[in-house]
Amino acid sequence: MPKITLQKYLEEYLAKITLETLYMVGVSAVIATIFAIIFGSILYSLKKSHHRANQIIYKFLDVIVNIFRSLPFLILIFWLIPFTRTIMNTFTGVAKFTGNTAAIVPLTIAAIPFFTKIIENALVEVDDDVIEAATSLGLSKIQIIMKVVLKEALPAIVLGITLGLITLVGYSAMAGAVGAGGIGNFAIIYGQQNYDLNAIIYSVVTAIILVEAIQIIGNLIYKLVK
Amino acid sequence: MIEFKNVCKQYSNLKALDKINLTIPSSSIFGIVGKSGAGKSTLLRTINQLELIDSGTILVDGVDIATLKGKSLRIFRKKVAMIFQHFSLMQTKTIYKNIALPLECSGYKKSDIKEKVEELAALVGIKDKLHEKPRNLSGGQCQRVAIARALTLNPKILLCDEATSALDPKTTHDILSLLKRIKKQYDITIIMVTHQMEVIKEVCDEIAILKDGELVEVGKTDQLFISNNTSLKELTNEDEIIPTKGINIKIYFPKESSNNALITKMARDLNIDFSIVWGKLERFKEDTLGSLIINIDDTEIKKEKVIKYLQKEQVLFDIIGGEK
Repeated sequence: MPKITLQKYLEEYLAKITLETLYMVGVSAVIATIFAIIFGSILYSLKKSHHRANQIIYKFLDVIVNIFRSLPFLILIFWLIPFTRTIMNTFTGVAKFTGNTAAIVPLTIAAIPFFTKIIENALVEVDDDVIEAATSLGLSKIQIIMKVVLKEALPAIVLGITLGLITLVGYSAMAGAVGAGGIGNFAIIYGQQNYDLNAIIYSVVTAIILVEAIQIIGNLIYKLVK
Repeated sequence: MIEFKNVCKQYSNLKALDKINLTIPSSSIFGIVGKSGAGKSTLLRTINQLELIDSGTILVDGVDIATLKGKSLRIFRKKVAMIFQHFSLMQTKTIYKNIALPLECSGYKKSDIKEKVEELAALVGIKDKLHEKPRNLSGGQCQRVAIARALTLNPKILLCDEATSALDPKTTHDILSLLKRIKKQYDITIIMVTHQMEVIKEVCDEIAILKDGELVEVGKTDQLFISNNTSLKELTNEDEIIPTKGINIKIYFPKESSNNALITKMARDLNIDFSIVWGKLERFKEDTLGSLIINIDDTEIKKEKVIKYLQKEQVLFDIIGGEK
C-alpha cells in the first residue's frame, strides 16, 4: 500500500473517519444514557431504601453491573456476536455483525453499565437535606427522583457522561476488529499494519482534537446546567 | 392543635423521645428548646413524619397522623411546611423554580404558578432575585426563598428546624419579624426548634424544654424566663454573681410592675438601705421584663420587713443564698 500524504488524508479520510467515530460513539452514547438514567435511578432508589430486601437486590444488581464493566471490550464484541445479529436483523433486516452500525451494539452494551455507575454515583452525591425538604413538601418518591435528584445531579452527570464519551472513543477503535471504521481503525490499518508513521500521527492528532472538543463541549454544558 | 400523647422514639440504644405529652395550640408561635441531642429536632420531625415514632400517638387537628400513608400522607405534608437550618434549596434551579417546585408537583397551571410565586416573592422581599440561583444569594435571602417555598401550598403549620441558627443576629431578627408577620397574615401555627435564647424571647408565645428526650418544662415564655426556672437556666448558662454575706432577695418584674419605681419606693417606705447586686432587664416580644437581686444585712427584722412589704405589693420574689 502506498503511504498516505497529509493532503490525501485531509481530502479523503479525515471527514469520513471522524464522522464514522462520531456516528458509532454518538448513537451508542445516546442509547446508553437513556438506559443508564433508568438503571441508575433504580439502583439509587434501592440503595437509599430502608427495606432489607431492597438492599439485597441492590447488592445483586451491583455485582451484575460490575461484571459487565470488567469484561474486556474486545471479548465483549465477540461474545455478543449472536446478540448483535439478532438486533441487526430486527432493526435493519440484515443479520450481520460487521460494520459501523453493527459496532453500535457492543459499544452500547459496554457503555450501559459504565454510564449506569456514573449516574448512580452522581445521584448518591445529591444532598440529603434537599431530598428531605422535597419530602416535607409532599412530593412523591418518583417526583423526588425526576424533579429533584436527577436535576440536582445533572452537573455531575454531564461531567461523568463526558468522561464516558471519551472512553467510548477509545473503545470504538477496537470495533475495527469487526470491520467498523473510524479514527482508531484507520490508525491500525493504514498506520500500524502498513508501517506508515505519518498515518498514525495524522489519526492520533485527529483523535486528540476530537477528545479535546468533547471535553470542551462537556464543560460548557456543565456550566450551563450548574 | 397538635397533641403528643406518650410519644416514644428510640435510636439503637439512645432514647430520643421519652413519653412526650404535649399540646401545641393553634395559631401560636411555639418554641422547642434544649441542648444538642435533647431530641428537639426529632420531636419536630415527627409532626410531618420525617421521623417515625415507636409508640404513642400524635394528633394534628384531631387526626392520628400514624394512620396517614402514601397519598394521604403527602396531602397532609403539603399542609405542614418546613424550613431548615441550611435552607435546603435546589442549587441547580433558579429562585423562581425553587419556589414553584411544590406547585409544579401538585399540578397547578403555569399562570397560577407564576402569580403565586410572584406574590410570595414580594411577601418575603426577594422579588428582584427570582432569576438568580441560590449560590448568588446570602444566607438570609436563601431562608426567605425557603419560607416562600414553604408557603406555596397554604400550609396550616410551619415547622422551623434551627431556621435562624446559620444566620447573623441582624438577619435572624429580620427573619423572625418576617415569620411573625406571616403568622399574623396567614394565621398559621409556627413551631420552632432552636438553641438560640434570643429567638425564643423574641417570638415564642410558649416553649417546651427538652432534656435527654424528656419533656421537662412547658409554659408561657415570659413566665418561664422571669421565674427562676432551673431547666431554662441550664440552657441560658448564666450565673448570677451575688454576695455571700447577708440575704439576697431576687425580685421579678412582670409586665405590670416593670415601670414601677418599686425599689426606691421600698427603700423610702421601710427606711432600709440595700444594695442592688445583680440585675437584668430584657425584652420579651412587646414587653420588658426582668429581675433584680438586692442584698440586705443579715438581720431577721429587716428580712421580715422586706418580705412583708413585697408580699403586700404582690411582687414575685425569691430568697436566694444564705440561710432561708
